[in-house]
Amino acid sequence: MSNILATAKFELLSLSRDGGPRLMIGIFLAMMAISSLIGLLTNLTVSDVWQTISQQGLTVAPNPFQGVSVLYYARNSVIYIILIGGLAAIISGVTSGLRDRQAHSLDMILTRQISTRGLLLGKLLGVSAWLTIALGAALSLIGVVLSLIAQRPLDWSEIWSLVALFAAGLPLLAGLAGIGLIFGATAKRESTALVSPIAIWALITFVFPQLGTAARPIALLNPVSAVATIGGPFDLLNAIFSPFAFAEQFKNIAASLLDGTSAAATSAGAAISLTAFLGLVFVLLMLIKRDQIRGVVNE
Amino acid sequence: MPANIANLSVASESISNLTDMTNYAIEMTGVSKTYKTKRALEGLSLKIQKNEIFGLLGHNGAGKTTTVSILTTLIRPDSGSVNVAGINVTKAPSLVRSKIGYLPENVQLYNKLTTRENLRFFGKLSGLRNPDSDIDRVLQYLDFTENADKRVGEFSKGMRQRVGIAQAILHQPEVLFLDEPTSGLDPEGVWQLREVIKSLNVDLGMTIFMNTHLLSEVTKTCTSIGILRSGQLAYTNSIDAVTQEFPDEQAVENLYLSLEAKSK
Repeated sequence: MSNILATAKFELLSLSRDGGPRLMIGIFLAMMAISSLIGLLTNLTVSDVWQTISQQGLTVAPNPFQGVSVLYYARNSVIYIILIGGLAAIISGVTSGLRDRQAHSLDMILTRQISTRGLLLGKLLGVSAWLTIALGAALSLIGVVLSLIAQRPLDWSEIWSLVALFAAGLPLLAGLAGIGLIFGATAKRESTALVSPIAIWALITFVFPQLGTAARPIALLNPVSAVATIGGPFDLLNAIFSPFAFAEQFKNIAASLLDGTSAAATSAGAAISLTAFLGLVFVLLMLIKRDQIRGVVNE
Repeated sequence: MPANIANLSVASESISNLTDMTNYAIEMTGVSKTYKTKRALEGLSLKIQKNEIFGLLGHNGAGKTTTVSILTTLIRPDSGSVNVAGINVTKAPSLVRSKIGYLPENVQLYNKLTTRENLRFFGKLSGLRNPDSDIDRVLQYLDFTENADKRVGEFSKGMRQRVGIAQAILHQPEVLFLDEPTSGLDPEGVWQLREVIKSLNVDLGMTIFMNTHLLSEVTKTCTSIGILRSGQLAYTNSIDAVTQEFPDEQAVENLYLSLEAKSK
């Protein structure tokens, strides 16, 4: 067990020095910080237009932003977790999987006191710790920005909702990192190691949810609202594919936490789905054999 | 007898069943290994006494890497018996790993990390709880202390090889395996590494198993040699006997070439 933890610690240190993962996490954090500000700017712009047309007597409808919760401004962060966070997780996982093969150090490791499974588990733990730190930093940034927008400290229920949102993002990102790790550790080419998990990410994020709905693909970039089905064969396809549309499952949880538009039962199902995703990736990782990771990787 | 002492004596008995008190650091008997349709080793038998520097020669594809991979527990033989440091590699690979150090060919290590950070990782994986004092000791021994906190990415091939040797001896193994250790080194790097290998053998009493295709390297470094041909040991002798039998290096080279020619 201590060697698994030593591997995890080493992985964390290595990721903190690697250019690709650092750049992606930097972009992720920057986007998270400004996502709430984008929400605020939208509010100010729409409110300004509403005030103008309201003064001219062109509308009697209330301001759509009137009375919205401060958590509303965190909605944009959801899609950044799925898009930029997802890609950052994949790149971190691939980097971790490729590292020992590129350094020609795998045989030295495997002649020490650690098994193939132990090594891969240590790597997954290390990458997950790296992503936890990134999510923790993003959570802190969002918390500060939301406090500035609300011009008051966040209350405990708001803090809890944000913590739950980012905690729900961890199995999604760790699962994607695990897919990156699997390909990084076994692919024969570096390009295959990077492209294959991105293709799976695209499948999970865009293709599976699209199969169960007639909505336009752009609707999938909607931060929190679940994509609606329209009945008939779409219901059947949705029933089959939606459990595997892990990004949509995360959005269901986000909808429940940020604006209460998703039923508790849906959120529970989504949480189970995300946990099962991470579990499936873990099982696949543990099925990798020593000979598979010892193969030469070509650029 | 208290339960924990009983457990210890059972464990000790289990280990003694797996170990063989012998003068040989390495014993291979009738070892065969086939990859799909290609036979890499065919009934290879080899004995290397403790405290030797053994050089295994052979052309590409003779089975050298397969031999080292089996001895270092990376792959399992299809048949035959293999003991390293008196321990059976298929029955107790983990125990064997605690007794060996290994430096593969063309190792790059982790460029973004310092020497110490690289070595700390391997030290931990070797079961050293607090490897820093061992790292200091080994770096001092290898005259590399001033590079302890420099990133490996700044190092020449020869310096990387030194870090590679350091990771292999950090846990004071009984048997050290080096795969083409001088490959890609400049003449000064080759000379320095040769001195390190000899001193590890003399000062620390390590048995050293070297895989190489450079005959000159073997005659200058090793105390005994073996020539592998088509997965079998074609020739083995002490370096003293070899130099008596073949007084000049040219004659040894002729022996090597004639054995190689037979395999083609």
